[in-house]
Amino acid sequence: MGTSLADRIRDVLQTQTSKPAAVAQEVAGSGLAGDAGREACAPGHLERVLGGEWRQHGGIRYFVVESRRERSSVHGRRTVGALADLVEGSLEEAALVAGFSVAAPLLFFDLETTGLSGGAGTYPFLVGCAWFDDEGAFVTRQFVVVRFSDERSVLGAVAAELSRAGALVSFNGRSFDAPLLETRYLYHRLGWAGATLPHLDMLHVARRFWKRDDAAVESNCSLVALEHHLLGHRRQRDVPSFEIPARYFQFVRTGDARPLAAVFEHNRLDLLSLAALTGHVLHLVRTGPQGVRAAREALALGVIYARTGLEARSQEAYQRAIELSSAPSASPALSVIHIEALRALAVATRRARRYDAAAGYWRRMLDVGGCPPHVAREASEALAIHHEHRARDLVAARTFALQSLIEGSRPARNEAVRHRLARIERKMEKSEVWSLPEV
Amino acid sequence: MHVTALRRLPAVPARFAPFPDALDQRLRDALASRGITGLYTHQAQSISHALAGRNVVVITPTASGKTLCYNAPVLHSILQDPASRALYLFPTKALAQDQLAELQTMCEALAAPRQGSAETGSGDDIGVFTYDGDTPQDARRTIRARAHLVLSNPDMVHSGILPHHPRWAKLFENLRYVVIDELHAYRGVFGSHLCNVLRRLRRICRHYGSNPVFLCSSATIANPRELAERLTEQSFELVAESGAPRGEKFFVFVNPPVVNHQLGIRRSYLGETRRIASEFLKRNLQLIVFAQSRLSTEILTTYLKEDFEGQPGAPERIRGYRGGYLPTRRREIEKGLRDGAVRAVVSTNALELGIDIGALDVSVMAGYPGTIAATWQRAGRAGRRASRSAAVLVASSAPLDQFIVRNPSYFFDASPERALIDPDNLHILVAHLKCAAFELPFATTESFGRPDAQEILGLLAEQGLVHRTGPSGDLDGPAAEGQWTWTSESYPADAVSLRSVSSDNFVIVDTTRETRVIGETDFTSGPATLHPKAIYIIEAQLYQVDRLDFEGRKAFVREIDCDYYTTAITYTRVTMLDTFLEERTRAHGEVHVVSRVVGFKKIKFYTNENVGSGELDLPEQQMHTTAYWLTIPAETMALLPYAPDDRRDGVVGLSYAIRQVAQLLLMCDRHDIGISIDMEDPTGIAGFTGKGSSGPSNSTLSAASEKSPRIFIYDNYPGGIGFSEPLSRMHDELLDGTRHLIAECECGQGCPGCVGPIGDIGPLAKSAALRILDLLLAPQLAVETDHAHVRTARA
Repeated sequence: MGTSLADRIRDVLQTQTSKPAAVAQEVAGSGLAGDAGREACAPGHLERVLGGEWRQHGGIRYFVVESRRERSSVHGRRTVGALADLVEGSLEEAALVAGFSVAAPLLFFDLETTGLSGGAGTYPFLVGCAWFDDEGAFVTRQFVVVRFSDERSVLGAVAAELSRAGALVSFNGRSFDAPLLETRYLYHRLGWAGATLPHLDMLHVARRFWKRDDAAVESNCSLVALEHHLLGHRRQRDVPSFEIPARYFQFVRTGDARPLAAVFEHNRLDLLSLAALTGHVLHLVRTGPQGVRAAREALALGVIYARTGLEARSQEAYQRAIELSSAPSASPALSVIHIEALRALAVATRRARRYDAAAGYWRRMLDVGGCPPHVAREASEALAIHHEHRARDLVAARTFALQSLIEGSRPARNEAVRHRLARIERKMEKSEVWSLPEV
Repeated sequence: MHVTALRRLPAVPARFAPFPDALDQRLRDALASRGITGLYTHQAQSISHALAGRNVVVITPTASGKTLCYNAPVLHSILQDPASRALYLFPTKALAQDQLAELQTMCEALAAPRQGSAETGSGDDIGVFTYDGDTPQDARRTIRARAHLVLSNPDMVHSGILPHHPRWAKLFENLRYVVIDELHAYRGVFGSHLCNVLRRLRRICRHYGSNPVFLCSSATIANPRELAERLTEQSFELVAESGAPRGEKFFVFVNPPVVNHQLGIRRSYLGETRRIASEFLKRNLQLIVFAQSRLSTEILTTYLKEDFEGQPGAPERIRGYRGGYLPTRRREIEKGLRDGAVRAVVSTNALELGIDIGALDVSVMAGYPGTIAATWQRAGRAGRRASRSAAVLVASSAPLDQFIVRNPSYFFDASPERALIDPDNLHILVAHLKCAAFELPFATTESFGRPDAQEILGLLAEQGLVHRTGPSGDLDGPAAEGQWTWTSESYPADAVSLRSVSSDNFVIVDTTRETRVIGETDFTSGPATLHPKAIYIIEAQLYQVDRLDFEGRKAFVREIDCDYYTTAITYTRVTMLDTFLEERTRAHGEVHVVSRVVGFKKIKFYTNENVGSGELDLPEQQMHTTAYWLTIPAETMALLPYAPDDRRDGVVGLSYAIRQVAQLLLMCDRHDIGISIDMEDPTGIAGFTGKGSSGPSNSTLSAASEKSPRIFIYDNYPGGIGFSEPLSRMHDELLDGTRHLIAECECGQGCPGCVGPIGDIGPLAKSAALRILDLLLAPQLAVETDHAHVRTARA
């Protein structure tokens, strides 16, 4: 029986279930496999296939693919020029959305990586950067790690690119792209260029506006879904994300860049849609609640305005959300928005010491069918407080306190309510004593 | 009560040494403020080695101040250079927590302003943090930035730190010391994994330009320096002589009396332990009782509570302690022990390791802990400084226990066990090589362990996991030499568990109420413990297996109330593949093991009666591993004055006993090794034949008598874990020990304490086994007459 090291290692590898690389089959369909070797070795192959060039800058050499979408070209419902105007002219709105101040120019960025698991063995092979230039065109610059030894140079070039930016805009970049890129800088003992830049992550914003509670987040808040439903663009023959690492690995093994061409296109489209999404959101924020068609959008605006103290605009947005969610046969998802908007108004008016108005909103919340118990409990409790201390209607206070007891679940909370009830009842006894008819 | 040994260990005075001159004055002051004005000799030696940059392993009995041996140089390095970092590895999370408290106290003492000194303390700036699976995600970034001392465990380093090393760049750039506490815990599979984790750690340190010194502490084992050097692949200084004082100690071995001589049944050792513990409690002595399992821990706790607990509501004086208790409850019990409120604690091995519980008077062990090292460790829980103390070992009827109490000199005079590892086991090595390639590209000149790393990388490349670039094909690249880069989306550390060879395992699904996973078992022991109708025990709750989904690796169980447990009947066939050494009757080499669970027995709790059985049809399991084997020459068999059946019984009985002694010598757990007999078997009862090529048994009685039976003791892990070679070296000890075990057993014709229970074996098994051993040992005795301790075989 052959027990050479190689045989034994093969046995071991067989038991360590690792998926065989399915690269060959995946890209075989495009008829590329046959002449891979010949084509890959041909001079100028990369330039020809990807449309980029080698650049030399400050002693480092890297491959970059630059492309431009003119003002007049159309992406979904808007032209690039319209998007440029929306983005460039709305820095104030961008700051509202971000919650921190944002400086121009905005740099959109998106990575293509060798995997999603993170850690030192996951690395970006493509860093896509994009911005609107002075003429309102959309420029993308894609930095590529052609060989592993290029990575350091690419990171250097990207750092130079970031140093020109006033703020970063990404889609899920705060949780994924930026930390991953930071790891690569740390790995090479370089300073992470994004550390001091404001970073606006549009995924979080999009969730606020368009996440539906009745569907998985990924399915309705992915960039492709938003692009389709919101921006009116439908992708043709896009590379599925899960195929991207395998395409890069195939390029690394064979030198044939053709499987990568579609990845570059995918990355450019992601960047453009990210810019379009940003423009759309800034447009909504600028136009205000009367410009929105959906209750959730109005609610999102309310929260965004409230965060920066724009009370009047915020309350207007909540009102609009209530209006848009008041259909007699509202879906459960719509009722949730309705209640959220009422609650936001109740809290806001109470903070503004408009107690009667606040009480009105709390009461309306209780009237909505299917009000979740914890919300109902909060409303009842607020009403009990209001009637005990402000309206001085002890009977009503007692009723609401009792209601909040029923709705309550946590023992500690119920304890507090019982305490309240006892106090109200003591007060009621006293007032009864006072109101005894005099003999 | 049957006392088989009583030893008095005299008191030993303390031996002191001055602080090494190089030690930072601020640290000395801080130690002085805590009442430490001098060092024990072993502390001074360890600290000197560490300060000089030499790797050191210190052997430390319980309560000899081992933590100072490594904390002093670590804190010194940080006081000297605040950029310095240290990584502490503990085998369990609980030990890391225990150390955290101690280190924080030290740092507070360092931070305290001192009178008459213009200098301010700098201890408040020293960040000490645990980093393990319990560390909240949002705290991790802070810890990475602020920790000078990271207290972790090998599993976390393997899956949470090394793969993310760029985030830990500060640690790896400045890593001055790596502390490995409880070094002896890293033997067998766990140790083999740790060695590979440390190979990865040192690769990463090289990348960041650091070269840490290793500081290790170990309980008494035979080969601490060898183990440290094997684990870290560095040379070590050994500090073996403790300078700590020790009080007078009495060590007593107790063997419960035989109640049924014929069957060799003894009085319950748990009952005996209860009586002994009660005697000490009546005399108001504080004690710890060690039990062998969680179940017996709970039983003994219940017994002692019945006997001694006061009024309901009064403070609990008797407590249990084991894994599975919540940390707050554990802390409360530990505190109760330190302040004396708790008079007795019944514990599993959870309290064997260095958790601080103060000085106790007596340590009672219900059952032999399995190794000499662990026994001393548990005994050391009583009698910390100058007081008189006692340790009592109550033997169960298990063969190992019986061997020890009947051969006290084996325990008191022999060297403790050697800790063995095999880091070059291909299953383990290849798994870690993948992790290493994920962490940093491999140079085409780089090695990793003994097997050819480049060849392995080549095969990983065939699978598309890595890709080789340069130097030749990469004309304009700056890389001078070629390298292998990780080219896979996977995160290889997730596929490796440090506590088993492969990550393949069975999960146990409880379907009593809502479906939930309650545990897991490694693949190898799955069929034997999770076959249909098996009783599975966890936290004293019994479950019965309804169904085993072999392909899906799931066992579906339901809660059950019954008075028996099950043991599987496994048939095993071993085929020799390659013989590394063969010398007279001993050999070791590579083997192919095929095993199949064919049935099970139901065994009643406490009485160990066999109350039923069943047949099973489960798939075969196969593995390549290494084995030691004993060949009984056909001529020897021919000399036996017994019928063929009785000769066969003799071999079976011998194999039963030799397994126990092998386990004793190897310092391993019961399931770490397997045994199989290769013997032409005319009746078809004893199992498979050994030679794969010989086909089904068709031999006649006379042919059987011409054959040389073989007893295989194999490593029960794919690829082997390094037991077979040392076992073949210990061949003589093994036979001699086995003979002692059988010859000194008081039973008539065999019992579970020697050649196996009557009923499983024939009436002449015991005497036949003894005759075989006599014959095997006899020619050696002629040669080795100078070995006075070897007893001559009785004719």
